Amino acid sequence: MKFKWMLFFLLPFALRAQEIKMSETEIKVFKTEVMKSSANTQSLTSDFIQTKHMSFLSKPIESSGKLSFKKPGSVLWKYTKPFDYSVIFKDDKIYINDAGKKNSVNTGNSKMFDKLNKLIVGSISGDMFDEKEFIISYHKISDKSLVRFVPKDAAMKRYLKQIELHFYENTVSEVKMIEPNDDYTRILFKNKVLNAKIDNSVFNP
Amino acid sequence: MQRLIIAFLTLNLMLSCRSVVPSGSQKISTKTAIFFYSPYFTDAAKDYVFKASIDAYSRSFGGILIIKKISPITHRVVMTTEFGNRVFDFEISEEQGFKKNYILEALDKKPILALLKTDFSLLVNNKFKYFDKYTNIDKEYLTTELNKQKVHITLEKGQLTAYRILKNRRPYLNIHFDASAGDFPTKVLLDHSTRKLRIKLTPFTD
Repeated sequence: MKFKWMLFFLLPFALRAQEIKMSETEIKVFKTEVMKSSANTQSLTSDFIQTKHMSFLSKPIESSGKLSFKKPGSVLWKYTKPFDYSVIFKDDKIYINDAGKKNSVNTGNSKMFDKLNKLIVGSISGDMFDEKEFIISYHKISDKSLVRFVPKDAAMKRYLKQIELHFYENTVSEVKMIEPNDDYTRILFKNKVLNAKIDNSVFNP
Repeated sequence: MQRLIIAFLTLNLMLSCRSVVPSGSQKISTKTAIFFYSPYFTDAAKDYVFKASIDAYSRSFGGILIIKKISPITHRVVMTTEFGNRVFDFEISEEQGFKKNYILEALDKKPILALLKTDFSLLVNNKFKYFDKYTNIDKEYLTTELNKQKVHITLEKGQLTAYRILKNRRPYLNIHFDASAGDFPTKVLLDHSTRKLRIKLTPFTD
């Protein structure tokens, strides 16, 4: 009888997905699988939902849109709700279109988002695990993988504490950017389509 | 000499009011202070979230502006990029004044902080004390003070439509509100005429 009661209390903990650090072998296998998946990916489109979580807010701030990627490194982040805003990363330049107002430089977020974009592009191209820039740790949660990136650069640490990339079937399914005060931005990717034809004009500023 | 100075200062004050208040307006003065309460940003249960569009000299950029009443006398004002990274983060209190929680290093300069303090302290302030009121048909003009700066408040048919700060009798800051029945202004424009700086705020719609 006592054993049954113990099971009753312990079962929820067993059922909740636990985060487990990957072994060295698992890390090697994971990286190899990601790189293989990346090598086979020439393009990617995905819907995304972004939520901004700040401690003083009543509820997170939500926005959404579409991400397009084409090898070797063209990326379009296009927000459609609740505002029209797009950023193109192309040829080492950043092009912004804010509801029709165009700008080719954005000093406030470009460095930060450039780093994030390199991570996401890198995860697609297989070139993301930059240990010169980040302290990287690898974890498993149920059928997903979680990789944590802690910046080494002091300047970056002032506005970014940590980035988490969640992988499902060897592609990024979620990004979480955590600020030094523990506020964070989460981006969920849905309806991913790999290797569809994307016209180059999509990435024209 | 003293009378000359007083006359000069009085003339100066009258001229500065006149540039905001149309001629022919009727003045009503009281000896006891009256309080005007701004209807905006007053509900602590709400997040006031705006898409911010900024034109600064020849450049345009934007972000998301969040205003939150975090206590009966304090507002939190945070601007982020569209991607969610904080640009600045202030607390503005009627009693404790202006507190900087965070600002991007590139913006952490005295003149920029002073400008942001003036703009957002005025924008979120809920309580103004005044002695003089001018009326003209369906408009009212109140003269008050905030952080040692003279502020002119315009009401149209009883609704708050503008704040104005003059410096040396010239427009320094105009804040325009599109008419709104509630506590969430439908559109806000902060216009610094002398600095070619305009901040347009459009509320997020669910």
